[in-house]
Amino acid sequence: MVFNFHRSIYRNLETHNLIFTLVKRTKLIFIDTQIFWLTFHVFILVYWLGADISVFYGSTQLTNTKNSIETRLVIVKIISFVNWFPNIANILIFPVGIMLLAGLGYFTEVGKLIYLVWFPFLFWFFFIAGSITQRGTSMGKVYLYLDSLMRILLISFVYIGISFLYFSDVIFIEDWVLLKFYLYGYILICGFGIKYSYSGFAPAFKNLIENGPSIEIEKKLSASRKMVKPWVLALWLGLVLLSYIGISKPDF
Amino acid sequence: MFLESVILWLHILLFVYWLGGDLGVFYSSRFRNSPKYDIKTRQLIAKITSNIDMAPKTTMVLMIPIGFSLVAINNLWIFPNWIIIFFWIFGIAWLILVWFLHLTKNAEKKAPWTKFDLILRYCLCSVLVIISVTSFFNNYPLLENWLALKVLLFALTIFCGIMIRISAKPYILAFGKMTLEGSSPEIEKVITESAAKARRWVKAIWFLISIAAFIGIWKPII
Repeated sequence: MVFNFHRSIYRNLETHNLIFTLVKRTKLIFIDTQIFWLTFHVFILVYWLGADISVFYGSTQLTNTKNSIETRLVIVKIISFVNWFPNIANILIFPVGIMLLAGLGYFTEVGKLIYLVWFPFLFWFFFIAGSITQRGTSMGKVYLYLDSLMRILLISFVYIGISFLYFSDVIFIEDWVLLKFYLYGYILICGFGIKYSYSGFAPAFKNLIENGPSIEIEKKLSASRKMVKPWVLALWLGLVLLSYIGISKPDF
Repeated sequence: MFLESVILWLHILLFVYWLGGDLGVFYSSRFRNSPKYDIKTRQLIAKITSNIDMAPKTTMVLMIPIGFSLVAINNLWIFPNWIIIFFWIFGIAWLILVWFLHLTKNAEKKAPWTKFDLILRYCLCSVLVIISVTSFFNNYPLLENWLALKVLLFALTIFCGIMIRISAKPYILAFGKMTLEGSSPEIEKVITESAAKARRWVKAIWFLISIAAFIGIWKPII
């Protein structure tokens, strides 16, 4: 028994040394998975906040009456493409954030099941993609409804579910993590604000293409853009704060 | 601690607006270069592109004072920290120059300053390469090799920026000619070829700054 025990230690040491030698000889470098998630997290911010300036600035040219319809159609094409990036980033930020928290020692009770967090977000991606690509059709409306439902569920989960977990001490949640969850909920609310304040823009723009420019149509386009502006600025503020809290990790 | 967080936060935001802002510029340039659209539309797209491009241009310039402030606050160089004042003076002066070049429409008035800006970029690229190489071999003036690598990658992005200017020169001339004389197959050929060359350097910048960001997060022991 003692002999076997020593032999197993010897074997382990041998294996360990072999790995060590391999590492030394081939100069293998191990990177913590947390580094990848953190990089991914930063890139999400890049393609959300960074890409949004092109969308926002482009939209100012959509309501510029000096621009021809053809020019405005080109701008719509540019905005529509670039806007995919903030849309996808909006979906990815939550599961990636959860993976980062798991790396920090959160949700250890669920083990590998943590990866299941990706499933609802995969569906959400299809809902958003469907609502954009099939805009104006009956299926598009269904997707839009599902997208809104997903957002409501997430906002409820963030403000009710996470608050319950925090205040009832079911799991330990640091203050800065709670604040990040709340800010994410706030960003989702801003997203709702953008969606609904901008909903009048597409029909007015369609009218512009079909019937040409008129004072009434231009007014509608301009009003819609004015309504969406505070929501966009509020969302940016939320994202900027979200990133600061992630960096400073304040404790209250 | 508070100051460090704020500087790190600004450093990340600069990266966000650099790479993220570039996406819109890159995609809209396809429409600007396409002969399918009328000249007025292409001119407007060029104006939009140029205005959005000020986000990457501004963030790149600010990367120097902000990045080196982060170096100073973490004591990652051998210099006394008050030296950072000079980085800020340089950064702000360069930023004023960059914005002056963007806002000034008079080409004659701009010409000497454009040349000066290009020389400045050559000098800065060389200085940063020297800083990086000496830090790699002698730990001077930067104390960590991953940081030296980041500085080298940043210097290479400046080099790529210079190459964009060089490869886009025929483009600018052809685009100007197109707005005055109208489109022709010869002009379009120059536009397409020149833009394709410039795009390669843009992609190189994206790759380099993405690697730099990854190294900044990872901080490997090299």
